[in-house]
Amino acid sequence: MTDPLQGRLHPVTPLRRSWAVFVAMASLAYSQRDLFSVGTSGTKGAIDISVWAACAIVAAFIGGVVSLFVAAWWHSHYSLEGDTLGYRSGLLFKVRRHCDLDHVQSVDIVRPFLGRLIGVCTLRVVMSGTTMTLSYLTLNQARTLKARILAEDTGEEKLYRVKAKDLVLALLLDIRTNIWSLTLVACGVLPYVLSGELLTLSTLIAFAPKVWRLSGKRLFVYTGWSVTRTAEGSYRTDYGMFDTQQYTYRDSRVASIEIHQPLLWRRLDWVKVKVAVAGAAAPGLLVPVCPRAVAEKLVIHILGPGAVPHPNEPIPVPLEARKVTPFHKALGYRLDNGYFTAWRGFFLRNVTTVAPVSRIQSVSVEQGPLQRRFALASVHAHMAGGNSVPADHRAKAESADLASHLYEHSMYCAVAKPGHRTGLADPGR
Amino acid sequence: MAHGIQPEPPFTLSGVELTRHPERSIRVSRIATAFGVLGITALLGALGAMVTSAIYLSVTKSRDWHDMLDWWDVRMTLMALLPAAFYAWRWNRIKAAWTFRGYHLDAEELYIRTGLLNRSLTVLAYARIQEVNVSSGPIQRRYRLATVTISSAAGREAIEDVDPQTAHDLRDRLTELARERRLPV
Repeated sequence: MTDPLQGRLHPVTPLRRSWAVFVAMASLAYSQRDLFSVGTSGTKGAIDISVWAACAIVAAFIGGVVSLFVAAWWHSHYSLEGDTLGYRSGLLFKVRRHCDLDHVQSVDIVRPFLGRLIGVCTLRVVMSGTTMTLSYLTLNQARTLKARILAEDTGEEKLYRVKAKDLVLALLLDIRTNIWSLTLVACGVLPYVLSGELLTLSTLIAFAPKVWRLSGKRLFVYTGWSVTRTAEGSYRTDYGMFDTQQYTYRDSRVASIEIHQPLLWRRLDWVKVKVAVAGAAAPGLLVPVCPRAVAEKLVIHILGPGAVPHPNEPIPVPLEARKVTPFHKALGYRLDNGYFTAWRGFFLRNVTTVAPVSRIQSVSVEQGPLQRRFALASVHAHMAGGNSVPADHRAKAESADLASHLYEHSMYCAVAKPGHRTGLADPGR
Repeated sequence: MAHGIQPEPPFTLSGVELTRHPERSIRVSRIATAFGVLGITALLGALGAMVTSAIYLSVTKSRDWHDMLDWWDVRMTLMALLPAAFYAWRWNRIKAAWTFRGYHLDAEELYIRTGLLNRSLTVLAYARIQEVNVSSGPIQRRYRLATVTISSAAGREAIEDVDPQTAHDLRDRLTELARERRLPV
């Protein structure tokens, strides 16, 4: 049994939420400065305050604030004892949280830009369902806590690092996103072009955040992206130019991996890798841009050997499918080695999804009215977490066959190997 | 069966007929569809009124709403016939949908078949079931029906409109089967 690890959060912690109050009070005082006159008596329409009184008020105010801060800091306290991580803080509203280390899925260190300047960071402990954040801690505290929570042997293996040059080129070539942000800008500028009124440009303000998220922000967030495999078998991404962030994917919870390829990346054979995790709503980003060979290596690394058996050989859809969809050439699927791979996509983007069949929860065959006319049906494999992997527009008999195969394989694999990969099936933390 | 649907593969199970829902569930579906059609009609009507008055206000100089009434043409009443026609068409198709819908408890898995325009057949292993709920809305209660909702890690499936007694039996049966066959996660 190791001795308990405890301490206080960083002294700047109370400032985290209260700086806005100070700014508001300062601006209020500035706007109302005519109400008082300090030292000069007899000013018209103002309340006279002598110099010593003004000094006393300011001193009392500053003293009160400082003592509140000190008290708040004194009461914010974390401790790691045995198998529980505890945290308490608050003067008026007390907060006490305890979490069991058995439920911890990942621990990340997040460093916001201003925090980096003064050397503090946030520790994010992700459990199934909730997240506990400790902010702010010094970097040393955070590292010790993280090491203790994960009880890790800190052996790490850096798998891939995105080069800044590649990233800029890739973002410029991601034509779908660029068209989308240009359309948004055009929507904002159009009223101005039509009316000539300068005021109409204010509609741009509404579109600006979305455009920023689609274009500039991605560059800042994705800069310095690297993927690291940690010793206990999870995959950690570190990224960010100003706010340095981490996100960890536990490989025992990976439901499927998506490989996206925008149109203009085909020539360079670059791809983007996304990971769907059970419990998360949308697939998260694993690598923003990398060569296809690297992506396939990553997939094999995460899902196990055999996950990329025939990367370029999808079983094509029947001829009738061309009457149902213009994108029939991109469609296809493969089911072997215990992995279900589906190809889909349209003109501007191709997506390949790889899913281990043991993670399939339910299988459904679906058929719309147009498909019925041409004797087609779609098969959907529903994964844990709510995503589904579709094999669209298959012939009727083929779809029935595929559905029953998928179902049988999923049950067989789930019974045979409880964790989806032998050797890593450690249900502990 | 005048308007029935004969399920074809991929929506059939070899050697098994799926259990049908009680016939009064057709009635519940018809009432639910009527409410849906009414709601959409009201929505479209309100939108139409708004668009008309906006056009009226921008096109004409007049600000008297009596003038707007002059725009009204008796033939516009025909537009109200559109939702009515749609509902008349649905009337028989809802019955056809009932002949298609069904569920089946197999040895190791549950089959649910639903839909009419967009049809689907779902397979869910008992081992994957996490939670079984029985619920029943006001219209369903009026016709003594209930819905069984089955949750797995991937989301939820529903067996809609069954007898309350059947629903309770299904719930007990499914939870028991799930407990017996639970997979090590």
